[in-house]
Amino acid sequence: MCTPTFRSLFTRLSLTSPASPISRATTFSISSALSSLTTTAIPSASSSPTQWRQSRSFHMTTAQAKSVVPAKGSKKTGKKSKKRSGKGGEGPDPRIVNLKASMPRTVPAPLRFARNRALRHWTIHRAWMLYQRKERERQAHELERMYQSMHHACEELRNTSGPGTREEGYLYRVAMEKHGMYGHNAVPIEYARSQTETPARRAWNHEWTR
Amino acid sequence: MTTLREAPRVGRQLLSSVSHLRPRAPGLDRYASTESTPPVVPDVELDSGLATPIVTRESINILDPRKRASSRTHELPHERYRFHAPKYYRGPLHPVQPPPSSDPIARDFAPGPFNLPRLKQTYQSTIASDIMTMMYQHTPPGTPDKPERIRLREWDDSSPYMKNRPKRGPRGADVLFPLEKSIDWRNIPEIRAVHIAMYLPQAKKNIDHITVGRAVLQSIAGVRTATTATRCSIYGNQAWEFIDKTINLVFPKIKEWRGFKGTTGDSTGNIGFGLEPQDMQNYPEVEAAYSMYPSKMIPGCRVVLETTAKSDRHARILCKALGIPFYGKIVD
Amino acid sequence: MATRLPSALPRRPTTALPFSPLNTHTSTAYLAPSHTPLSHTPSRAATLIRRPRRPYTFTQLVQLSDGSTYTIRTSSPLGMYKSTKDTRNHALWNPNEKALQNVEVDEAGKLAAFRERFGRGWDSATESVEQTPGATPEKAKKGAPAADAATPEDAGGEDALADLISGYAVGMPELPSISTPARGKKK
Repeated sequence: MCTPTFRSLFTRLSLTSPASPISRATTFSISSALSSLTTTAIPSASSSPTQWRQSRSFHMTTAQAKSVVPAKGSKKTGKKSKKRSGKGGEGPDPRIVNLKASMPRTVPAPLRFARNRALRHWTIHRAWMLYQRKERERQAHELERMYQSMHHACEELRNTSGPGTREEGYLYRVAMEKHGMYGHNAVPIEYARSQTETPARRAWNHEWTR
Repeated sequence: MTTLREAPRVGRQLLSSVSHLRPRAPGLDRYASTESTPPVVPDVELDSGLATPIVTRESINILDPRKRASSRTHELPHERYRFHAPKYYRGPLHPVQPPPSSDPIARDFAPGPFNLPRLKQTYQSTIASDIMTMMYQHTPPGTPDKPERIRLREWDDSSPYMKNRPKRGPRGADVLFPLEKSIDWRNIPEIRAVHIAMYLPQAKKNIDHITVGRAVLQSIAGVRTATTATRCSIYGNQAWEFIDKTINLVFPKIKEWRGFKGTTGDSTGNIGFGLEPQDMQNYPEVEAAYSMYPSKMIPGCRVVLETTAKSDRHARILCKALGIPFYGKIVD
Repeated sequence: MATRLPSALPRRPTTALPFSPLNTHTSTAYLAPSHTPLSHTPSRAATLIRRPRRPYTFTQLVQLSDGSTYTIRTSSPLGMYKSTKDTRNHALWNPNEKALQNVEVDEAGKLAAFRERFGRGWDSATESVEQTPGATPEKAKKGAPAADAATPEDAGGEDALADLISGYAVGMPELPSISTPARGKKK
C-alpha cells in the first residue's frame, strides 16, 4: 500500500540516478524502526478534545496543588497568584501545558533486534552505505570530468586564431572576460527554480523574455 | 533463444549499482583489454510482472518455530547474554566500546534518511556544476604558482632576543581567516549546517517563553533542543529542507521583504539573517498548529547558514543560486 | 600502576607490613578522572551517550501556487500543504512576469467601491508625489499655513492629505478628471 509513496521519495526525478532496490528496502526497514522509536506526539490541529483534556488535567493537578498552599495563608497571596497566572487564576495557560506535554523528557529505550532482523538491517545498511559512496564518487568524477573538458576547451581557444583576421587567443580572452561575478546580478533570480515532483499547471512560460 | 530472453536481466545486472554484490552469471566477464561493443540495454523491461507465478500461502514452506525449538538439541544462549550497548563512552582505550551510531542497537541510533530533499537534488544535478562553470578561471599549463601571501609578520632582527621567535600575527587582529581558494570541482560551496537561535530576554520574567520557543524551534527545524536552550543546529537533509521551505514558502509571505542584507556574513562564508516574530507563523508547521501556541509569545529567531565556502562572496553565490536575493551595498 | 615509595605511604601504626596486597589495592583503586586534554593517562571521564530525542516527522505533500508538488519531511501532521504565496507567484522572484507587477489585492471589492464613491484623485495625487519629488516642496509650502497652525510636524499621511488638497486647488487644469473628490471632502 505504501510502496508507491516510498518509492516516489527516492525515484522522484530519475534524471540523475535510478534508485536501486536497496534504497527502497532501507526505507522500509528503517520506517518500521521509526514507528517503534518515536513516541512523542506533536500538537496537531486535529487533536481530539479528549486528549486535550487529559493532558490538561494531568498538569492541572500539580498546578492546583501548588496554588492551594499559598491560598491558605491570606487573601493577598491568593490575589497575587491569580494575577501571575493570568486568565482568571485557573492555573497556567492550557496551551503552554499542551506544549510541555508534547515535549516529554523521557526517551524511548534503544532498539533491540533479534538475530535475523539485525542481520537484515546490517546487510541493508552496508548496501546503502555502498550505494551512497558510489553516488558520491560518481558525482565527484562527473564534476572533475566537466572541469577537465572546460580546461581543454580553453586551451584550444587559447591556441587558435579567432574568427576572421583576429589574432591568436582572441576568443580565449573574450571567454575569460567575466564581470560582476560577485555583484548583485551574478546569478539571475529566475535561475532558482528547484526541481519538483510534478510539473506546474503551466509547465513552461513561452512568453518569457529577458 | 535463451540469450534473447536473458538480455534484459543481463542489462539490469550491468546497470545496477550493487552489481558486484550479486553472483554474476559465468561467462559475462570479458577479460580482453580491447573495446567491445556496448551491451544493448533496453529501456523498458520486456518481461511482464504478470508472468511471475502467483505465490500462495500453501506453497510457502515455513517451519513451525515452536516445533523447531522443541527439536533443537542444544540450548540457545540466555537472553541476558545479549549485547547491550554501553551507556557511556569511556575513551578509545576502554575495552568496551560503543557500537557505531548506524547500528540499531546503538544508543545514538537515528533511523533515516527517509527522503531525498529536492533542493539537495537540484544542487547536485544543476547548481554545483553551474557554479563551477560560472566561476571557472583558466590557468594555462606551465603558469608558475602565485606565491602565497605572507600574513604573519616577521620580526626585524634588531634585538638578539628576536632570533627564532615565532612570527607575529596580522596587525590589528589576532586571527587568521581562512584563505579563499578559487572554485574548482573539489571545493564548490555547499550548505554544511543551519544554526537557529532565539533570543528570549522575556524569559527572565516568564519561563513559559522558553517552552514556546522550544516548541516553535522543534516544529520548524525538526530537532529537539536541549531543555533550557532555544537554539539548535541542523545538518544534512534537514538543513536542506529547512532552507528550501524558508526560501520558497516563508520569505515570499513576508511583507516588504527584499532579501538578505548585502553586509551580512562573517567573512568566513557564513551568511546570517533574522526572522521577526510575526514572520514565524509563515512556516507551514507553525501555521498548521497556530492556535496551539500563545501567539504573543512566539519569538523571532536568528539563522546562520554555514557553508563550506571560505569567503562571503562565494557563500553569497551559493545563496543566490538557491534563490536568495541580496539588497544594499555588498560588503565582503 | 605507579608504585609508591614507602615514605609516601601513610603511616599506620596497626599495619606491620606496608606492602600488603590489601594496602596497595586500596591506594590505586581510585584514579581521579583527568579533564586536561594533554594528559595521556588512560583514565578518562565517561561521556554519556544520549539517546536522540526528536519529534515525529511526517511526509507532507506541498503544492506550490503554480500547481507543482513535491514532498518534504516535516513535523506538521497535515498530509498536504497548499501554498497561496510563494516564489512562483512573487514579483521579487519573477521580475519579468507582467502579471505579477503591481498586484492590487481587491478581493472584497472595497478599493473599487472606494473609487466608485470618492473618485481616483487620491491615487493620482499619491502617484504624482512619488514620481515628482522635486515638485512636492512647493506644494507643501503652499499648503503649509493651514497645516503649521495645528502641528508643525505632521505624519506622512497628513502631508499627503495636505498635498492632495493643495494639489487639487492648484492643479485643476493638470488633473481635469477629478471632479468627484470635492463631494468626498464635503462628506
